[in-house]
Amino acid sequence: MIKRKVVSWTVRGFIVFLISGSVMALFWYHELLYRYGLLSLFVFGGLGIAALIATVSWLTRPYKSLRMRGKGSFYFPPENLTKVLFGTISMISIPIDDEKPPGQGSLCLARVDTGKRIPFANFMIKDVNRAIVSDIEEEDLSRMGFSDIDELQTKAQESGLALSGDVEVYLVEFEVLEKGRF
Amino acid sequence: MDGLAYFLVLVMFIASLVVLLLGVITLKTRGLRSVFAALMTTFLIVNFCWLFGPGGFLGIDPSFYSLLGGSATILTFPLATFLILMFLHPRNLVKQIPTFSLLMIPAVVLGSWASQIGVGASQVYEIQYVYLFVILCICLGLVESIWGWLGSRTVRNQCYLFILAFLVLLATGPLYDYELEMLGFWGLRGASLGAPIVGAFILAPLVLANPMPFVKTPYLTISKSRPSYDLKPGRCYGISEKRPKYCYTLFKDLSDSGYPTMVLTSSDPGRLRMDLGLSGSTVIGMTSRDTSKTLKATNLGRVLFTLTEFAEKNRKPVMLVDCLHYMLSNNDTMDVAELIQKLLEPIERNEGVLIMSFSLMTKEEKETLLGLGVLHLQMPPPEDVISRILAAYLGDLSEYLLKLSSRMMSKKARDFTVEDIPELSSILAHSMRALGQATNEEAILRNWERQVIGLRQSLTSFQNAPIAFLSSDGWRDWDSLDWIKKPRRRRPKMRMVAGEAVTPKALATTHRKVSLHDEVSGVFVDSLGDFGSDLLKMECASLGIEFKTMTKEDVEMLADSAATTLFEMGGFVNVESANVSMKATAENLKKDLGRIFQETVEWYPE
Repeated sequence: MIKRKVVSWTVRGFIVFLISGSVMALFWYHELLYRYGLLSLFVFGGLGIAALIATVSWLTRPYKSLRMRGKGSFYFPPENLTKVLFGTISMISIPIDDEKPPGQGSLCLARVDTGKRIPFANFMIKDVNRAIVSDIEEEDLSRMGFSDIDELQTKAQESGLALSGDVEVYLVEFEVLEKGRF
Repeated sequence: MDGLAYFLVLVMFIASLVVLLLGVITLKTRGLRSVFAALMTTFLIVNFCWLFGPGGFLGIDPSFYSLLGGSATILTFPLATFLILMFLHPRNLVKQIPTFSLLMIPAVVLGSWASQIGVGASQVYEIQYVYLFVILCICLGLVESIWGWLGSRTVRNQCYLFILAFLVLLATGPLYDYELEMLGFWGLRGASLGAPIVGAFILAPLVLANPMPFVKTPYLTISKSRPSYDLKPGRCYGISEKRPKYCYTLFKDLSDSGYPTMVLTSSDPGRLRMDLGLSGSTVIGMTSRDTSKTLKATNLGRVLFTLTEFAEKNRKPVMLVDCLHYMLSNNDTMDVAELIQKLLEPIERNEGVLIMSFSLMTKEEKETLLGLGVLHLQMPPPEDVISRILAAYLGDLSEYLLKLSSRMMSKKARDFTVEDIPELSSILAHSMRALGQATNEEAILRNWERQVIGLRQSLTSFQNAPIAFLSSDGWRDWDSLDWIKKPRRRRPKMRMVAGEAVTPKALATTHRKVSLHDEVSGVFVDSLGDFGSDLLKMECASLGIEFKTMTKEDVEMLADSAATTLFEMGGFVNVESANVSMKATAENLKKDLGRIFQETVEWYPE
């Protein structure tokens, strides 16, 4: 997490520095700018500077990934919302025959499955693995918020999913990057 | 040159030196490291010449430094191009010689010629041939990088940075004079400005794809593998099984036979090495991050280079990939397919074997990989075959004995592999003999001994069964009892007793009449399998009942006595679930026998 923040700030800082440096370098050639006349400078220069300010402000936002769009959404029942936000639940299982989840490092949206499917968090996929349901380890079960396999199977059945012991599933591990503010 | 230009060249010089040192320390592939070091050295020479050349700090023999700088500038471009070609088309060094010669000979000739006619670093791009050659080198590198970016999925990220490196080289090399003209600044010249930037752009992807270090296997005498495993050299095998088991068995056999081996696994490498006893193998883990000991699942470039390096450097290499499902979960299927396809070439060339576990994969993924020419082996779960063999010999008791064995081996029955058969066989034999001795009957003990021998032979036959037999589903129809030429004990048939002439009226009133002892024997065999008939004989002997002339009262006594024996045996097995199940079987047996002596069927003693 810290490494990612450091890399992100370094890249942003470098881009901001390049923009600032370019603006400063323009002073060296300020005579060139006079050629275009006041109106052109006012309109196009103004638009250019506005775009620059917008870009710099976007780059200097509080921590948010440079990649804007996630690759998909995952749906959670309302009762799990706080558990996901506070990291108590950091893994989900998806049957292997369902749609393939995005791979490591992808950004996704977490949505509350209440009909409207409202997004409540932005998270990053840390790891995707596969397992047979009966082989899922206790550690992974606790990450999913279950105490044992029976509980996982019962909950799955309640949501209309048959997860017998032989079913193969994706185990998607994730980390919440940004909470709310959508 | 003014002070600012000096300062900038000095900064570039130091930065290039740092990149050179980083490259030498981090790059593991010898060929790439050498070429990278040569490239950065030429950059350093160029900068050095700008510092100490005409008008430089020291003003030492300006003509010599100028000429040296000019030649080094010319060499920079083919070296950068050769480095990219080496990376994109990894081959052994001998096969790289033609490409190297094609790029370097003209560069050396042009460099020498430029020195001879006295063209220094400041005028080197003004020579038409040099300009053309440099542009050609850059175009070749750019085209190869763009082709790699568009055409290859495994090295896409690397190619992206290579393109940037060539654009920087173009901007700081042949196009630089025009830029200087436009900007009116004549401080820095030639490739000096781009040196550390180009170096860093090239170094970063090379480090990202750095192969894992491994010790080259010393030349060993390769002994013959087990004949039943007959794997063809130069081929790739995809082993379909529920949990990866046979892939380890085959791999271990080849490892024990002296082949140089490497495993790429998503489980703990140390544990796998210990479990399989792979002391001489290279075991590499695959996780969610790149470290000095593990590969990242999404960094397919590094995975490819590590596997290719091993395949290229060893004779008859054997590689096992048990984490294909993990790679497929984190990458596009086509990316992984391309990786396998690229890996097949060195495997085929060096007569190696690539074994891949197809467990936990979807049908589409399997089909995609099989389309590459991978040989498919659909293997049965060993625990299923073992259960079938046990059921054939022990009937209902098989389940209890399997649980007992699994507890004694501290392993779940679903995790049994072919390698576990000797230990399992030994435990089963001990348990069966102990059960036989518990009956205190010599005849039964002898029968149990016969069963033990048969069971062990069947298990050994399974252990040594050829792959072709197991993968062809032949095991499903295999009667393990036939293996020892033992006629299968048949359940006694109900026999019709014709009492009177067969007329339509008689047929309507004929009752089904069977002998009592056959019916009793049938109940015992139904409930307990082959053990049932042994138990019946033992009980008859202990109660003094003549088997063939038993009466309904005898059956009642027999039911009580057999149930008591089974209760006691359930306690002896010492597995809670088996104990409960045994007691339930005893209850059922008693109930079934009770039904016989309560029935009003006419019994005909033989």
